[in-house]
Amino acid sequence: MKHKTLFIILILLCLSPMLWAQSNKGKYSVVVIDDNNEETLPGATLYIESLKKAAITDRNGEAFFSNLPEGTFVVKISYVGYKSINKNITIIYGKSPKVVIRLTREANSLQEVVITGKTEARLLREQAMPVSVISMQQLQGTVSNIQDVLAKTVGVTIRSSGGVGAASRISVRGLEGKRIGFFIDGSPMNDNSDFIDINDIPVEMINRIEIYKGVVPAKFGGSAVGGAVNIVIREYPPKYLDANYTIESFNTHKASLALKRNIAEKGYEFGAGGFYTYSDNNYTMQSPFDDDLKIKRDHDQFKKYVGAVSFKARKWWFDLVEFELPFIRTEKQIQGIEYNIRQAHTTSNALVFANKMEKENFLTEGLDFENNISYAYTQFGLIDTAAYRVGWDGSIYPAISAKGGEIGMWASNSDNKKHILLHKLNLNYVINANHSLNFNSVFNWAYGIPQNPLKELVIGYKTDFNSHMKSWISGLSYDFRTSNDKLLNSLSAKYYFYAMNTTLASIVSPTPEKINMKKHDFGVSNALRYRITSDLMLKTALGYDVRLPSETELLGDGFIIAPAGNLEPERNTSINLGFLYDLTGKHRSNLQIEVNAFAMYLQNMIRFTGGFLQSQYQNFGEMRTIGIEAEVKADIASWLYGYTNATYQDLRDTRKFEQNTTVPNPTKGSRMPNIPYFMANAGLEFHKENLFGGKDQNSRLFADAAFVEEYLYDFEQSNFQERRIPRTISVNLGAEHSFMNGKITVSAKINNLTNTRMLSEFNRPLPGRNFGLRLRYVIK
Amino acid sequence: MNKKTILLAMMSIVLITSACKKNDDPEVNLPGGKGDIAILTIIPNPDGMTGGQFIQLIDGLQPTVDNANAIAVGYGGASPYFNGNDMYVFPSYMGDTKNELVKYTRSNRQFTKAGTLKLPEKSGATNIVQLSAEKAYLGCASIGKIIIFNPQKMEKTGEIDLTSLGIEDKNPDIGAMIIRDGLLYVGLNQMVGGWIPPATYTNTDIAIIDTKADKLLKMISETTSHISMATRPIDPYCIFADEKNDIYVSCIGAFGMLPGTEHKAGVLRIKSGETEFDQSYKYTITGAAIQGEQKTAGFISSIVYAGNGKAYAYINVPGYYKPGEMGHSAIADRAVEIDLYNKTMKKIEGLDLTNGYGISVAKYDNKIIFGNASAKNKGFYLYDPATQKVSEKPVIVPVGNPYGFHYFGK
Repeated sequence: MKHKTLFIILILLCLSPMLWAQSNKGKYSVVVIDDNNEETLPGATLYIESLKKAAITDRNGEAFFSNLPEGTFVVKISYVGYKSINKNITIIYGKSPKVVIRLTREANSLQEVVITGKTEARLLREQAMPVSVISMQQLQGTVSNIQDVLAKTVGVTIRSSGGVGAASRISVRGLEGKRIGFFIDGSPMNDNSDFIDINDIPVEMINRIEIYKGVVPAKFGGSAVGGAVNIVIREYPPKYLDANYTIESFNTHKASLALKRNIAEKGYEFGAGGFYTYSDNNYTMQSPFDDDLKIKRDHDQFKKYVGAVSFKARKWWFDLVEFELPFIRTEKQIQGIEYNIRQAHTTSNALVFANKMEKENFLTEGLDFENNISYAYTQFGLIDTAAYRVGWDGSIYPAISAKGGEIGMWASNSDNKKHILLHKLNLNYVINANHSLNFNSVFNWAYGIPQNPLKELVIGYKTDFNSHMKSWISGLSYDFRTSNDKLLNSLSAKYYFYAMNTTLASIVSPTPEKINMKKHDFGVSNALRYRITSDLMLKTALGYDVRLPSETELLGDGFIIAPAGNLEPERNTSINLGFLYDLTGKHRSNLQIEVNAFAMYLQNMIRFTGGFLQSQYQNFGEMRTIGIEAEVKADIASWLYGYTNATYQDLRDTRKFEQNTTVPNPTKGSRMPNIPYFMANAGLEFHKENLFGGKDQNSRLFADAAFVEEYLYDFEQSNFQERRIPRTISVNLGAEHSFMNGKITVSAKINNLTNTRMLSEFNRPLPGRNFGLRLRYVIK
Repeated sequence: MNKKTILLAMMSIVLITSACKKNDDPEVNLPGGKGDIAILTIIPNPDGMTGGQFIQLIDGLQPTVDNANAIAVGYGGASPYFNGNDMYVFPSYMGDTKNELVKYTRSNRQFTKAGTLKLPEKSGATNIVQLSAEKAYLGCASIGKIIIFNPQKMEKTGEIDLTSLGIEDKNPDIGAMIIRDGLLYVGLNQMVGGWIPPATYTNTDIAIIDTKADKLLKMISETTSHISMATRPIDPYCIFADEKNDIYVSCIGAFGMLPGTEHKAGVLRIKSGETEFDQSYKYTITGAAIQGEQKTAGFISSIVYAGNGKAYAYINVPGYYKPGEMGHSAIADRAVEIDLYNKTMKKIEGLDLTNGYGISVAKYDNKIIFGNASAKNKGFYLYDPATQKVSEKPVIVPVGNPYGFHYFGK
């Protein structure tokens, strides 16, 4: 009841300003369309230089300016592959004209690609939050997955455990795992990691990647404390075909297809697409556990099938009503490293039904409405039933349990089913040019039905029971922007609620115990951006965020991992101070220099605690981070782009005492282990049109280097500690050539050019030098 | 200075920094320190699954010792095996170290690495007994085999396959071992998955091997007491012989993890000259009273025999687990003196309850050293059996948990 009341109050808070909302003086709407086929152009950029105001067309090709002063101004309209135009607009108070602007295609589009991409990213960067935005238009062809993109980003490291399909963890300023939110188009994905990994999404389907650091905007409903990665999927033009095929080392094949067709007069759009990834991942690795042993990985096959169909209606009462039906299947073998694994593998399936509705000026002028509801049915299975183990040399060893198995402590033939319902509501109300409110609500319900009869046979009792889980995370944020746009302040508050009903078996009690738990918490953050000059801005952010314990952390596995119903949420206090100097679109160098200093204090860290027989997740201490990161990007010449960045992050244990004791903590002040503390990246890109003659062709050559300083796997104690992750310098090279004005693109790349021995953790060998070749065909 | 110059300068800094040679020369001293006492310390990592484990020599009892000169060894493995001036370090039980047994020899009061013996992956190597200078047995819990090796040459000379002794599976789970009268007695845990034996299998099994032929003679079973799981593999002295040459076997009874069954922890005996269990001696530990302690015992976490039927041990006391608490950080182990002949236990006064990282018990001349990691203090304490007094404060305060202690003698 309390929560319902709170919800109503939040809604009222959100809606009440409508009562005194001012009329929109100086409003101007624009619809941008293709001069040739009259299709709308989503993502076109509009910029009024004299007012320093910018806008991007939405999915309907529409953009609007509000609170413009009276007068006549020049607006520049740009879109990828089209000639930019300047248009005079006249603003008269009380009138809200809507004009149609037609763009014509141009043969020579490269420069526009670059400018448009950066302008779009620039708008996001000018938010008050600390954020890195990577426009994929710049990176397509130069990367093979999101991991490659993130690895180049300042303050971000990726902890991959192997080849294609291997689990990877994103680390933002040293915080990683569940502390970092993972979103696709703003929808939280953390609980679906068995079904969709961040690397699964083909880069050609991505519009941009937003990496929020420290403070996570309230509009993202998840509970994250260290930052968030939001992947924005491309909005394809109404008529479109995009086909890709990539072949890479280790028998890796990736194919993707996106089709879109519309009925313009009815406003209907039909989409279908999907991708398939296959890899043997059969690279050779030096065993970290035996100097004389080189292993060709032969049980690391990965297959992923994703297919989806969609329907959009753009002329119903809502501006957009969308239905999507994706299906995902993953088959994954498990590669042994410490010891050989011959049979264990996993399968997972997910079927999702999703609906989205959007409407601008919903019920009242200035209120934008977005509603998402989705239902997912998922199934995950670990099959580990080998009757015996096989050594690297072919020796036969006993299975790990009486019922077989190669990994862990028991045989497994699990079949875990789950029904998940997710509702997300976002209401954004622009009160006037100076004030806006945003309310966000994410409600998640899940019903898990786990089964593992083999495990029960081994252990002798039932450990996995059905569970109900509910969570509601809501956020309210208030943005204040001065009329001259010098100051932007964003204040957010979040409320978290989490409830679970399940049954727990315990090794100390023969009778399963019913669990009903409820937890709630609050978080708050404020971010401020001040434009010192038109090119230089100051950004500060202060946040107090909460991460709720995950289901696994709370429930354990009923045997080896004990339940921990008393876990408290993690809390992170963060502060960020940054400067951004940005000449994008103003100077031919497009120079951007960004420097950020940051500090964080993480309390109630949830960590796994090993035990005699059972282990458990526990709230374990605290740590602090102090760091600085800097990045410079520029067009060094009209044909050469370069970037470089460096991050220094110092994470230290700040626990005064050892857990549950008054014994001084011997590692207080020590650097947190297994977290890199100094990283740097640099890269150059050469690009030229018609390099080899002909017309409508474009060539790009690029080189990237990444550096990570050596760091320790454990707390630093001894001068003779050997468990170190060595310093690495890796270099990637690539080339891309497009024909027919981008219709056909061929790209090739070499990763890890110097064949450096790369290790994740200190004993997860990564691939050596490897190659990839990609062909892309686009019809617009 | 224009912007291109700034950019190029920054990129150069990155590359130059990358190319710099790091200065990682260890400062001074040989790895492993110097002295007549070896101490082990353990410091878990924040991920909880991994951590650092360190071993070093110190010269006598020293008030404070850091790990600066310690040798880093596999985390969470069995305690090293000591024989004379030799120390054998096992691979990590978690599998995150090299698959090898490493031998160090103490000479001039310092450790030198004397050789390695390559082991199968995921071997679960946890226990050694040495028959002679040229022959030793290495129990491998995870593969059901005993590796025979030459300790001088660190070469494998044979193996004994015990997989046929497994109950319900192909692995009897080899535990701690002892040699008596030319026979190798091998404790068997008979686990079938997780850390537990079958719920209905409450026997204690011991394999007996003829060390001349290196052949299995027989497996003996105690079937009446419901005392189960012979020996704790990572506790090297949990099978021992007294002055009468009687063998005592500490059995861990499924660690109390099979509630509602008849599994119990306890101590059994094989009398001198016999190769069967002594049916007249069954000492049930689970549920037993501890003099001076309100709560009853669970199982023996670690033990060392001191003579005259007296052993010193840590007893895991389930009653001290807080609700929802599990794992090594639970402070629930009580130091006791065990009177094996009279089947009684007595709390060691002056020592607080300790966590799972601080349960080492070792002999130091005619005294006993207890590693103890309580809620208030951490360190190695000195106990005098003659006066039954424990030192008021730790005689060695290490950095980290006091995980192991060995005295080489003067």
